[in-house]
Amino acid sequence: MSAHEWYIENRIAFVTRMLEKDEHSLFASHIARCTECRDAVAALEHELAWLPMGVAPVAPRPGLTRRFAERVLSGRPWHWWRWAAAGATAASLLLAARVSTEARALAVSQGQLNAIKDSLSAIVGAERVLQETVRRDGYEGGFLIFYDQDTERWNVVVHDLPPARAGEAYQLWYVTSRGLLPGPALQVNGARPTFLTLPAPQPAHDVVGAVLIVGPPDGVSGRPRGVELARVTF
Amino acid sequence: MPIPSEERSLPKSGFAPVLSPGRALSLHERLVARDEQALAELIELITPWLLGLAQALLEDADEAEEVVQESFATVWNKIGQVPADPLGLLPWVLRVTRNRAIDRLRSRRRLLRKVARFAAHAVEVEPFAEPEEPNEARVPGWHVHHAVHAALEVLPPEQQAVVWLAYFQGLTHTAIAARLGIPIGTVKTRLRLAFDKLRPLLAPMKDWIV
Repeated sequence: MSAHEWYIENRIAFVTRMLEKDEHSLFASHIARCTECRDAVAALEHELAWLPMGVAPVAPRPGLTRRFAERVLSGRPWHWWRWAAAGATAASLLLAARVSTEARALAVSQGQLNAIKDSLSAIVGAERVLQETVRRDGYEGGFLIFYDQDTERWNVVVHDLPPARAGEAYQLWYVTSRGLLPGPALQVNGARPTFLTLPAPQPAHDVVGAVLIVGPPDGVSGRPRGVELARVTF
Repeated sequence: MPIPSEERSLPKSGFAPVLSPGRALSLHERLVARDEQALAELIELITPWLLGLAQALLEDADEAEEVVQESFATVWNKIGQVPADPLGLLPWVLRVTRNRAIDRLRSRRRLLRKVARFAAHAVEVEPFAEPEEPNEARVPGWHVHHAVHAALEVLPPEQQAVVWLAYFQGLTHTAIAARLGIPIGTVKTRLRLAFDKLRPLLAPMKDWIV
């Protein structure tokens, strides 16, 4: 088989993306300089134009098409918090059960309990919730983060972790394309969950994850010097 | 293949059954003119098909939505590159979506896991089961789907299987050969034979725009 015969034989495979990555790149380079193959590929693309519609349609979730339009027009990327509502609900219910138990044990006021429930209802309503299990000093807790589209604020929950040791603090760090950027400190008292709500960091689109660190307070710059307890990627 | 559920019912609003040439050109021209309403119309019209395609490839509803979102962003930002003929817009969006889904599939090594799962659990290859549609008139393009489906049904089962694995599951020649336990050469031969049959059946579909 001559070199060009290989390209002829694999035109359909190229059009339909069935070649291995290196083969695909090779073919792409070839059609940039081969008019015959370029025209043949264009003809195949035309003939197979509607083949993707061989798959049955899937109805969008309510409001999805509106959100598509809004996000395209606003130039915003698809947000990381688009997780299944079921996951958010499950996470919040687990947390709610735990919080209720602890609240009873601690005899917190009804007002405090209502505030916690409000926060939990926001979690239930969130489209996406990210969470990581955190283990420290014999405790097994969690780091949970979600975005509230109504208020355009981030919400962070840390639960079942011991208080920071003397000279240390829990701190949220943002993972961005420019490296880690410091976020706020979290006051963890070990008795009940810590809730924190904060505006989305700017530029929001640059943030690709978040990290929970415990260590020496870092202020507003520099690299985290403590121990990374949890990391979530959006 | 994903079938719309009652919980995720298709849009209730009526659509033109298909894009007429005039409407397609109009949509295209309006998109080029940065008409935001045209973008909304396009999204409303074609989202179910893009979601179906992306979900088939990625097997992840959330990620499929991300891919579709990215595809619409590409449409909006690169509309000037779309061929200005009646067949140009929708197939271009379909192609963009499929390519993006395949890129994700392969870049995240999901393909390897998918292949492994196929192998480990002997997932049945049941391509192109007859879909159900409760109200065809409310789904623009449904008759196109039927026509494509009919063309695929013409293929013998072994060719249907390779087309399904290759085109709608995103597997490469190598992965298909491993999945089916046949030589790569046989995979290529079946695909070539299948597409030789499909091309003349699908090519006239440019006329579905009426």
